[in-house]
Amino acid sequence: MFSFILKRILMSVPTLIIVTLIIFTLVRALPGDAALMMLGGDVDDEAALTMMREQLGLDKPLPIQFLTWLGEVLSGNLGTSIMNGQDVGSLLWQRFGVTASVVLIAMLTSLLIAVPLGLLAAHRHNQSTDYSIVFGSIVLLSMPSFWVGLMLLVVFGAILGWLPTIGFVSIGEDLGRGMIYLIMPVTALALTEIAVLTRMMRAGSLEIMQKDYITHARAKGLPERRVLWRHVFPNAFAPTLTMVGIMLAGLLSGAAVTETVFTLPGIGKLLVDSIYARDYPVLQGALLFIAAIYVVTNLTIDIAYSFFDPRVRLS
Amino acid sequence: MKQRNRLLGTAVLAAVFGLGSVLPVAAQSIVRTSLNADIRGTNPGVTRDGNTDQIHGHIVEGLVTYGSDFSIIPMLAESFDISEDGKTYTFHLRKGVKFHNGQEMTAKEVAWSWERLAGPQSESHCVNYFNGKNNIKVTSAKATDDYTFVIELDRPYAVFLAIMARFDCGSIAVLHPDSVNADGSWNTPIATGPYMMGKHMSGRYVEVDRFADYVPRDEPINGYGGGKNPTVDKIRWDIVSEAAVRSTALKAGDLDLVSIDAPTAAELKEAAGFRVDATDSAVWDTYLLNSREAPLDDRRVRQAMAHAIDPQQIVGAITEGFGTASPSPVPPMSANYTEVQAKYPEYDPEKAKALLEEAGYDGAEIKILATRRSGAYYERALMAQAMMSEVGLNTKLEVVEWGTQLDAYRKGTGYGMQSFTFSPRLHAGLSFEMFTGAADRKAWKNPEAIELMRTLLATGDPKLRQEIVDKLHMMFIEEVPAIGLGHRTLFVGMSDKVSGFENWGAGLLRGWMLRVDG
Repeated sequence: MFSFILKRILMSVPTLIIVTLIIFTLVRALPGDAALMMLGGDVDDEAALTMMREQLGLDKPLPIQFLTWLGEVLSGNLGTSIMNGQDVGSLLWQRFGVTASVVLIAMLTSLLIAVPLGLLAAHRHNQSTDYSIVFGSIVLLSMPSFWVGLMLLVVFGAILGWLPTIGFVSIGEDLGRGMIYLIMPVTALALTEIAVLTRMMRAGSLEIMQKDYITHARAKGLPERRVLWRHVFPNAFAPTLTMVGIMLAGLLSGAAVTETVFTLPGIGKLLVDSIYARDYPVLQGALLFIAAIYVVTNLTIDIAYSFFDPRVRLS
Repeated sequence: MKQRNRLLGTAVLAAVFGLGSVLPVAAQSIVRTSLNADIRGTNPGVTRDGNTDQIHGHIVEGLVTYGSDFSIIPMLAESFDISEDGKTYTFHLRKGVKFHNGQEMTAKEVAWSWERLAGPQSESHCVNYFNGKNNIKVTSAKATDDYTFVIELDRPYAVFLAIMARFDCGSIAVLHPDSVNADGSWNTPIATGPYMMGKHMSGRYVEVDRFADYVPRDEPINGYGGGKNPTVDKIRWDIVSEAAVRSTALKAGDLDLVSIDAPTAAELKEAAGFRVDATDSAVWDTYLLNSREAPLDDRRVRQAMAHAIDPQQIVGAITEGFGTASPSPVPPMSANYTEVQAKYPEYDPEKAKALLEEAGYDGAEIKILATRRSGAYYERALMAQAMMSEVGLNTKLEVVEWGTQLDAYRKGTGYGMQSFTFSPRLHAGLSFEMFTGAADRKAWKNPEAIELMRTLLATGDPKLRQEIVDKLHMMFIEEVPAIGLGHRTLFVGMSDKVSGFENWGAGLLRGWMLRVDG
């Protein structure tokens, strides 16, 4: 197990270095002038633009800028934000904490709801319960997340006045208020996740239920609940887990829409803001961070896979 | 009712989660408003952008500032004198003005602040306005006694005070030297404004707290100056980038005062419990034309475009009927706006067709650049395109991201026309300078216009200034380097518990005027 993890981590190093080159090239290929954006866009002063480019280090040739950045990255320094002078590394961690708290709670909530629902739908295959669950999933999948977010804000914030429409309090700062601020964003994210995972779990369970060992388990008189949780769930969950991994990596990389609607200072919002502001250090740092998230999430899922499917060996 | 529901909801949720005291504590008076992006920092004139300037403007003050008609009025100076040769500015400082740390402001701090922002070590982009790189050079700036500060220039420059008052230069804020650390690095603004820097949570909100010992001027409020008498204890700007979320938060009672768009203004105007303010600003919405490339290198084609586009219809549509067209680059609230500035090529499609025929226009494509950014750039472009197609102009609308459009603007290429907006220029000379000059990005490169503009920026003679402004305007409507649309109507929606709000031409919030009930 240890050698497997070590090997995977070492394999990710060249991947990340190639990613840095791709990121730098793509970011600098973006049209636009960071210095001009910094000065407000319609400045009349060429001397101020030149001064700003010098301050930002944008007056140097691109290869020098890349090598400087790579050198800093390898020494663990992601630079400082052009926008506000904050250290990019700490900014990313700070913003990632916000995204992670929303995404992980949403994912956990989704799994707690989607797995039993998927199993239930498979168990009541072609009955009204199954149809209702499938119909509900389709409805949830059909709703754009931006719209869901705004509807939640309008109903629970503006009309009922139960929940705050803007703002964020970290659960580390104040657990009570933090949870209250998380309710709507977690719900918005979880609704889509529940739909996807329920359908995955249902499809996986239906396939497993056709297997001989399930018939055998039933034939030997095991209660249906035990058949479902002991025999169907572990085998049907593996494909769902793959989907969880893909979704988790995507969401941890920034649920930009949800973060924008609910004014969450997360990594997705940071990424979008840094693109608009041409904040190169933050943009490059955030993309590299996201690449690392994919590497780590895939590794974690691979390890978790072996627990649910003993046929998968890590060595 | 909503606030009661909010408290009830919060209490219920707290009980569900088994948590203790989560109810907000009733405290000082607060007004909650919003910014669409976080501030860049707390160093006025250095770490700045439009959002940030607004916060700094509550904390710091300069020797002079802008009045409501954009004339220059004293702020921390009691008065100022300009020598006959126009090269020496003497500022007589107000006595008894307190810094946020309780110390009294003297000319010593003024000189220190000048050196910090306008001296050789300055990190402000505005230093170039004072070191000779961009026009004049300040040859001397010193305190001659405790309450007198004297600046000498290498030559007369009429907009010198207007530049000192610029918001993007932090109004050359007078700060206490304790604003920086022992090593000279920036710490926090200790200034003289009616509010002090409060809590800033990155990406979430920024607050300013009322300065209890603020000493106001005796005059009534005038633009960004006059007697500021703040009563609200705390002003908080939440960072909310989405306009739809901002208006929802206003309706929910989570924000008290919000910049809104025209459709939301029309909706809120009818809603109980809210008020809407619509004020014309000095922000100039325009179509920049690229006169260097065919077919727009022919003046008659540009004139045809001006006759084909009806500014009044477009402004009416994008402001839901609140605004009126004002095509001149000089804003209507300027002291230099006269009946001459009201003249403009009339909307006349037939005349446009005749001009195109005369120019031998062969249907060459004109690329229009626009962005989806807030400010109706896209909508303005779309309407102009429809009007131009009516007279036979062949246009192609290309929607790009703002950074891309700015790049085309800076290079002065890659477009025939672009839907553009200029931030407020609070001097008639600067209103022309923003698009006149030799640089690539400038739309108007006529040498005579450039020379007139330079004279306009240098002269202190009001009569000559008006003559040049009028002449430049007549040349502008004849040559059509840009098609003026209007000075943007700014909409602010607010809860009816907030009073005292008045917008003005520069559009910057003046939190010291706000009052809040309950």
